Order: sequence, then C-alpha cells, then structure tokens
Amino acid sequence: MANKAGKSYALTAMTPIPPLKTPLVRLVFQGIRLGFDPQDSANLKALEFIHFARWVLIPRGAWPWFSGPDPAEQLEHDYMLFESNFNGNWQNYIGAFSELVHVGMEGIWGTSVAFPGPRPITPFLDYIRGVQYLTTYYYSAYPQATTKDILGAMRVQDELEAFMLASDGLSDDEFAAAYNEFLGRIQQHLGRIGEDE
Amino acid sequence: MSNASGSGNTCLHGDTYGLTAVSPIRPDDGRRSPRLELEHILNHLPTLADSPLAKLTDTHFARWVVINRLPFEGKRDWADSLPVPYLLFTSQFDSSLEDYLERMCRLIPDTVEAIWGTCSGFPGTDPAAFTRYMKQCQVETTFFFGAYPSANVSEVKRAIEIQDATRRFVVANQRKSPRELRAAFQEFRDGLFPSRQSQ
Repeated sequence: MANKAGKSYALTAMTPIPPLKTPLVRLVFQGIRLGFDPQDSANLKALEFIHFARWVLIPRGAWPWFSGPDPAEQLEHDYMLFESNFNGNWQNYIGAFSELVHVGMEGIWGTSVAFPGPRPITPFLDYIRGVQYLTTYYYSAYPQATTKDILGAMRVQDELEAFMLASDGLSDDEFAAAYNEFLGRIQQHLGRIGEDE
Repeated sequence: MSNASGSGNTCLHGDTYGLTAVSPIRPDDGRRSPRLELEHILNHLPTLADSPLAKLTDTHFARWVVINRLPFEGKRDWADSLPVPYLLFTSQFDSSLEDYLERMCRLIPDTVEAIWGTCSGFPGTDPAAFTRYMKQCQVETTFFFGAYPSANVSEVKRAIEIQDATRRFVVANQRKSPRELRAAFQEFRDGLFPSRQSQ
C-alpha cells in the first residue's frame, strides 16, 4: 500500500517559497538547531510518533538536468520538501502538529505560498492535502514497531542491563525484591510489539 | 560522532545519514513512457522483508516518489511546472553515502538499473559512476531529526528482540519463589547475552 509500510506512514509534501524569502527559512532552522523554541521541541519529542523527519530546501536552480539548457532555471520559486516517517493516522498527525508545534510550523511554513497557518485546523489540513504526494514505494526496516515501541524497547534494554549488574551478589530474597522494582520501571513498556493497532 | 548541530545531511544529535536525491525521468517519446514504466516497477516491487532495500541492512526508512507536478495552492497563473517528472529517492541509513551507494550497485544492481534506468543521465551500476551521478542528483538536507538518532538499525532490532524476550520471561515467571525466579533469570540472561554468561 502506497504511503504505508506496516505501522509507519510516509508523508511527502512540497511547498513553493519566493526565492527572496528562502534565507528566512534557513534562519528559522538555524534557530531551531540552537534551541530557540524549547517548548515546541519538547512538545514534538513528547509526541513520540515520529521516527525521522526532514526538511530539504531545493533552490530553483538545484533540479538536476543532464542535457541542453536547464529548463528548471525558468522556475519562479524555490521549493521546500518535507518528509516524515510516523505512526498513526495522517489527520491526527497533522492535527498534533497544528496544536502542539504551531510556533515552529508558522516559522517553517510561513513563507510558503498560500500557507493558511497551522490554526484553524481545517484549512491547514486542506493545504497539506494539496501539497502532498503519493509515496509510490515505501520501506521500513521495522514495520511493526512504532516509535513508542522502539523507545520503550530501548528503555527496557537499559533497565535490564542495569538490573543484571545490580543484582549480582544479592541473596535470593533481595534479588526477588529488586526484580519487582525492575518490573515496576519497565511494566508500561512490555506491550507486545507487532500487535495490529 | 554525534551531529550536535544537525547540519547538512546527518541527523540532529546522531549519526544517521539522510540522502535526498531528485533525478529527471526521461521524457515520453510517443512510443514509450519511462514515467509509466517507472510507476509500474515501483508498484510491483516486493515489500517489507522481501524488499530489495532489505538487503541494504542499515536502511531505516526509504521511499521513492514520482514528482509529476509542483504543488501550488495560490493563484494558478503563478504556478511553476517542471519540464519532465522527477524521481525523488530518500533514505535514512547508518553508513557513509559512498558506502551505501556502492552497496546498492553490488547488492541490488537489477533494482538500481530498473528504477534509475528510466532517468536521464543514469550511467549504469558501476559504483563509481553511479556515486557521481547520485551526488549530482543529491540535494542537501536542511534539517533532519529523529526519535532515536544515535541508534543504528541493528541496535533498534536488538532492542526490540530484548524487549520481546523480557516480556515473555515476565509472563512465564510469575508467582515463582525467589530461588526459582533467580535460577530462571540466570538462564534467561545467559541465553540473551551469551558473551556475558553469569558465573
């Protein structure tokens, strides 16, 4: 199925930017890298449904061409590609961005032609539909694991390795007590990975 | 080395490499449509564990997208159009770009030939020539982030394996006496970490 690989969804979208405004977008990303919007970054991280995401600014002269005069030089706009690998429903994903990361969204997409703003949600959803591509082929190395599954699995691994170290040399009763504490720390991350949603 | 600045093609705070490449698809010549041929190939490529990309074992996620049009939600007379459709290829992987492209040529040459054979300028699957071609098609990633930026594919899969084994151990060893529990746990850890067998 296009756009999906197991539980992962591939969003691919591209928006036009007037070339004079492209440096502003680069500044926004520089600001994000330097931590200028800690609340948006914290909200994004807390969502835990994005595996990887990227933005790619494509200047109008950057479209490769291998013979004759480059027709892409006739383009009026630079373009910003956005791709995301996430879990869950497309509408919920966009909605979460609109609700929780709206300052960053305005900064990143505010210079894109006809961007309606992240709020209210309906025009924003319509806009994304208009700039989104069908992902013809999509691959995931771990299609049955959500981002939350993977982060939880890493937590289990860390806790297990710590417990293995800490439990050496304990008596049987001390071991059982420490094991119960270990269980308490990992219980929420022990759901079966791969169960259909 | 962690990419603390998130600059360029490497994931913020991590080592995963993000390749973005756009390749012009050969134009229709009245008899053949390379774009339609490409879409047919991509629509029939094996998926999931049978995907040719699974042979590139350090690939986290990858996609091919046929860019038929440039989106424009404003006034239509301001809209751009590309002279030909383009093939977008993106991939997130753990090795260097050169190593990854070399393995594409060596491990999945038929796939590379079938897909990029529909594109202008494709030089074939000689690794050096294909690497030069893809670098011409590459666009620098502006900002790239991930939820587990420092974990490679093997580490992700290993964490999932350990989680699953731990879950099954917990379920199987409820209501055991402390001595039984400890003995079972030692057997469990020796099986999961054979190089760290307990004394």
